[in-house]
Amino acid sequence: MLRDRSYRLSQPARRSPLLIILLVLAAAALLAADQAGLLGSLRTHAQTLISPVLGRLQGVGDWISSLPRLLNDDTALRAENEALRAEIADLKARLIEAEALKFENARLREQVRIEQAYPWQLLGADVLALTPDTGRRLVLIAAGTDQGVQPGMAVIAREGGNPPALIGVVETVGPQTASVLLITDYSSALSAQVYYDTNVTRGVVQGQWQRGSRLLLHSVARDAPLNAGSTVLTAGLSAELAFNLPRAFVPPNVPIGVVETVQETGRERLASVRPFVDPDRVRYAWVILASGESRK
Amino acid sequence: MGHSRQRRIEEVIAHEAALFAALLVVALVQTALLPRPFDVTFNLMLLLAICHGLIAGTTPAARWAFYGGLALDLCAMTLFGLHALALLAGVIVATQALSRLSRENWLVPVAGVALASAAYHGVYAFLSTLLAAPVDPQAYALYVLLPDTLIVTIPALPAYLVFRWNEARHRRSVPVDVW
Repeated sequence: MLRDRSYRLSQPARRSPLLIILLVLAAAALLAADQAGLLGSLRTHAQTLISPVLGRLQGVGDWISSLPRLLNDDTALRAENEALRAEIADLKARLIEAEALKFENARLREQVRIEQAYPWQLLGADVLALTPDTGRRLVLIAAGTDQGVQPGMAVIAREGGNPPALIGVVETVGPQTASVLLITDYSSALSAQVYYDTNVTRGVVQGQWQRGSRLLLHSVARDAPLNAGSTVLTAGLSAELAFNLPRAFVPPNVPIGVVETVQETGRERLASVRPFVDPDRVRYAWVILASGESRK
Repeated sequence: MGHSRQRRIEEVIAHEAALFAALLVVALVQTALLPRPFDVTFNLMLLLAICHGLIAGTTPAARWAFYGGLALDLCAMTLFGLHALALLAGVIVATQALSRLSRENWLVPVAGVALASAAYHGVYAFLSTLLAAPVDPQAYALYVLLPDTLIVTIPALPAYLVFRWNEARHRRSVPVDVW
């Protein structure tokens, strides 16, 4: 005879908390050791193994992410389509052999174009991964100390018809990879400037992603000229003052974004800034290895 | 005697290595594959560790949290132990807080994941402030903790049911018997 019997799961077994305490202590010890730089070689080997896999998965992830956008966001799709058509037309006009056009070539040509327009020596790199959670805004790029990347170097990218613009600053470097702190992160603060005829307005650009916005230009003198629509550039103050700081790698006059709104507080003026490039959408970036005189 | 003990140790090591490899795959998926609607990240590792913890208890889930956290640190190039400590905090808080509730209560996974997410982000923000850069607690809670917690609680119940089903399958207990 068959009978239904209600299914009940037993409570999880209670065990000694010793293992839990050991795991917490082990994690804390690892954190302290890594902070002290004792796990550098282990990290290097692990990163070397994992970077190629991350790079391939990122491509699949991009395709998955684009699916709902393709289905739902018709307007964005049309705009993207137009931008792509313009880009294709531009590439066709510039390349002699259209059939030999490859993505890598386009990237290299783009890099050359930027290097001709700006006094920068660039190194191109794929974006391998975005940060796995939203605590901090970091991306992992496929270039490291073997290619000459150092902490504090500026990382730029290009999107649509905008100029090549700053997306972040290298934070930590491995032999083949580097972690880039995006300018939209709250902990990112860079000296910035806006040109007005013969005047220069200076301030600090700080990330606002964790506060629900993108960028904020603050510490601007109350009487300094600052209008919506102005282009915000890096000031490169650390480099100018020859400070021996990682930020001294960030050259002046790297485009950041456009001033959207300006407001005054008691002592200073604040401006919300729309970045030229959305760092979250970047899949290929350039590290500025050298700039101006240091390039020679 | 010694031979069987050595074999036992080898089995344990193999089992732990397999668990780490599986969680590394999860970390890779979370880092590179999962879509990010409205820039909100879906914390798959936290969800799996909590569901496992609610079924199997704090200790096995703490192992998942430790290995999974290290895997996330590896994929994100963050300091080793940062994600591990945050996940351990989430697992311990959620499983201990809900340990007296019935496993059959369907609110358990939702509350567990929400509690764990809060603890995870609390520890992560604290460690970030300590080791990297200061975090504005109010803004962090509003723009990071809240959306991340909401999005990870959505699949909490289905994921928990899958874990329960798997647990029942392993115990070979079925809801129908003969008498």
